[in-house]
Amino acid sequence: MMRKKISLALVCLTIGLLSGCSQKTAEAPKETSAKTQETTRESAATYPEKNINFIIPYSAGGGTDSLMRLMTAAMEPDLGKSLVVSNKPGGLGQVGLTELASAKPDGYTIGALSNLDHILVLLTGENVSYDYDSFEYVGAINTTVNVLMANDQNGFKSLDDLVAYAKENPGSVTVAISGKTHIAEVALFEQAAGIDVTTVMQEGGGESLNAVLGGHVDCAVLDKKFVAQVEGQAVTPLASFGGERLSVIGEIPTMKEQGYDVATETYRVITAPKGTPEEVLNRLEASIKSVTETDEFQEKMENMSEIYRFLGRSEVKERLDNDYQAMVTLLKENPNAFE
Amino acid sequence: MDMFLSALTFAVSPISLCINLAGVILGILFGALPGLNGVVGVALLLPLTYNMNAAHGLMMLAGLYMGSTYGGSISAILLNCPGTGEAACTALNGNPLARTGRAREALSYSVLASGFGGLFGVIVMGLFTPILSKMALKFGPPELFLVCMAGLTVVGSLMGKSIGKGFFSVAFGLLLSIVGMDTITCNYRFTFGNLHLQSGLSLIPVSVGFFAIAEMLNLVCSAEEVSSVSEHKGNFKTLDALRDTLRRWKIALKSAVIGTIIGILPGTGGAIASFIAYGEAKRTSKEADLFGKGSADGIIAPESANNAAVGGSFVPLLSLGIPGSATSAIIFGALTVHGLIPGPKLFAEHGDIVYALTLGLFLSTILMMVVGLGGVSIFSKILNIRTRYIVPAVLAFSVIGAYSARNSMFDVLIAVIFGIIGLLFKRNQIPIAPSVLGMILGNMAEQNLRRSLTVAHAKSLPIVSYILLRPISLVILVLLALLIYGNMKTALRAKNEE
Repeated sequence: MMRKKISLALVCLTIGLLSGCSQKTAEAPKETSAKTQETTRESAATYPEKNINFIIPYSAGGGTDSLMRLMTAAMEPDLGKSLVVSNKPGGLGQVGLTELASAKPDGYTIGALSNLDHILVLLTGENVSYDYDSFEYVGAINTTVNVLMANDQNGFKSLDDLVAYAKENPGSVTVAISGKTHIAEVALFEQAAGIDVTTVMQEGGGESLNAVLGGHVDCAVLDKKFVAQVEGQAVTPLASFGGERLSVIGEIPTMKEQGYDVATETYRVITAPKGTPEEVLNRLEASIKSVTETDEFQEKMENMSEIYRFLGRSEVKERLDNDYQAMVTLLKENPNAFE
Repeated sequence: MDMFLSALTFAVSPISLCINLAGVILGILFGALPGLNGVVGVALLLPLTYNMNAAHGLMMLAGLYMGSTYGGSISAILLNCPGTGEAACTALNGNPLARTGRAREALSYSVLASGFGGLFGVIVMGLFTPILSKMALKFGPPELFLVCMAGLTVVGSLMGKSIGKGFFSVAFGLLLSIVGMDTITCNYRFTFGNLHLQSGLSLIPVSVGFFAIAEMLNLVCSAEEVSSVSEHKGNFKTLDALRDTLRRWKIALKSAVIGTIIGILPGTGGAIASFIAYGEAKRTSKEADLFGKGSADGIIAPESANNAAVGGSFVPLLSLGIPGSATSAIIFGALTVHGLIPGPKLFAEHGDIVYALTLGLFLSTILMMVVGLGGVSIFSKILNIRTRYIVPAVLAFSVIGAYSARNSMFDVLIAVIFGIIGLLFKRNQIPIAPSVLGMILGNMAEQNLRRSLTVAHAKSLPIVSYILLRPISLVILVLLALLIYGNMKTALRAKNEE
């Protein structure tokens, strides 16, 4: 009896230690990156020689996951090897990106991220062990915007109605949001319009939709894919946060058109750890471009109500730099935007 | 009508039935294995459906969802390791019954009740979706907060002999739910600087530890050669179980109604449904004294409720695009991949697919009953396997399950830690189910209370009148009072017996 107990304790201890160890080894190899770069440079011409791990820092079934799984499946025949997807959700992508940042930069561990989540973790996250320059940004294949919608019960037929009401009743307009990106977007809008609204955080788009359709909140920030869902119901889309009108929601004016200087968009960026050889990055960029250009792929994206927009390495870096600056400015002017 | 007939022909075609059956069997397996559940199964199979016909893909995922909801009860009854949170209540009575040599009886009650609840939920979904979705919208933060409170009162039915230990357990669960990012303000709480705790303790590794690992450690310590009684008493017949279940139709029906309603509410799911149905059954059952010792009512109520919640969760998903549970949130993804946009237009433009899905889910439930009843004698053989083979197998599956939910070794560590905590609980006669209940409801209760506070503040209303002066709130409040009264009575009766 006693012996069994002891051996049991040992088993538990070993499992515990093992799990601890494997975590350490995963985080270690940053310093050796220069060396591996040398050796991988020679083999870059034949890249890839083995299967590639693809880290998605969000849970299975979400927006980033669905799009990236579609893309990785299309890339497999082109690269001749498998892309093995693993979801590592947590902390707005921080858990998965921590692992990606410390992975060996040989092109066999790559991943994806969502632009604003990534920047907001860097600027407002806790215990972030990587920085903006820990990654090589390989490319992006989509763009999407969020839309501000209002329940009809308050008679907000346009953005101006809402702003006028909010100016008279500071803090009394309630806006359902989900995620840090929405906090940033609402804060930018408040700043541009000189108003103060109350945000009500929800677990996801579905809950926000429920809150605004049921009239439990006055407005909601929702992804553009929800626009088709609210058609014919007592909810009016007031404005899109995007810089320009998107064809699928062409009837919805942007914030900018209505005189409020806000322009944000969301796109998923294919990312590799810093130090990945140039040849590998170029090979990946070319592969992404060629497999996503086909009509077949774009039709599948359209079905998922995603909008195709390819950005290569230099373009995606430029976009990210701009987004980063916009968020830095927002935080400078309104340090409490995320409190 | 033509549409209905063509959907029916489609659903009963051999290929559809095969796909459906594959989904159901996979679901039962995913449900029965500790740590794996419907959410994991549906997420894993999702990419497979991208290249399938939309109706077939949805049918397979829905069948998997239905099957996994039942499957959890198999390991709950036989091994006292509920494979899913949904089966936590089933273990409380199913396992004691199995231990007295009536495993086949317990398994039959479970599959029959699951089938009954499942069919009820699907029928409601098929007939009343447009009406019920309007009801779902009436549930805002104040109503959902009160529903959570109603759920928490069930702790009275779960606490066993000691009120103090029961409250300790539920408080422990509520405390666990606080860890991680505060979803209202995005600040971190109780993470101790650990990156992996930022997203909170996930329910899967904690319940794997609490239920499966703890039970296995307990088995090893008690040094029994065979996990339970090896003989099966009497020559038990399926027909007897069917008659017995039908005799208890009131409990099954009431639980199915509760399950369907909870399933419709956004963000809830089968686990909450089964807890509430269990508490309600204990309050009104004629054999309330047998609860916790092997009551058939105590198996039928949660199993009927959690499968009824499956159909319920499709109601807001199809009509509004609002998923009623974590699993249906992933099925939402499957809909959009095929260009099907949930909402009123779905019924007008893709009525054929909605019919095919509903009929498919109906058939899934029947297939699930056939597989479940056919498997009763096979499943119950698990009890004859020696402990020394059972323990390593269950531990291995537990580790895999804990890892696979988020591909995280940290979660394995969490499962091991909670296995040890669970063992301490068992050794000190502290009930585990209240902790799981607290963990499931803690987050939801807190978020909805704080959302209510935020909105009340913005509208300059006093919080109490904002929460209470709403028509549905008043109805829930009456139910809440009844539940508190009933649960206090059971808790005090248990105290007197001590």
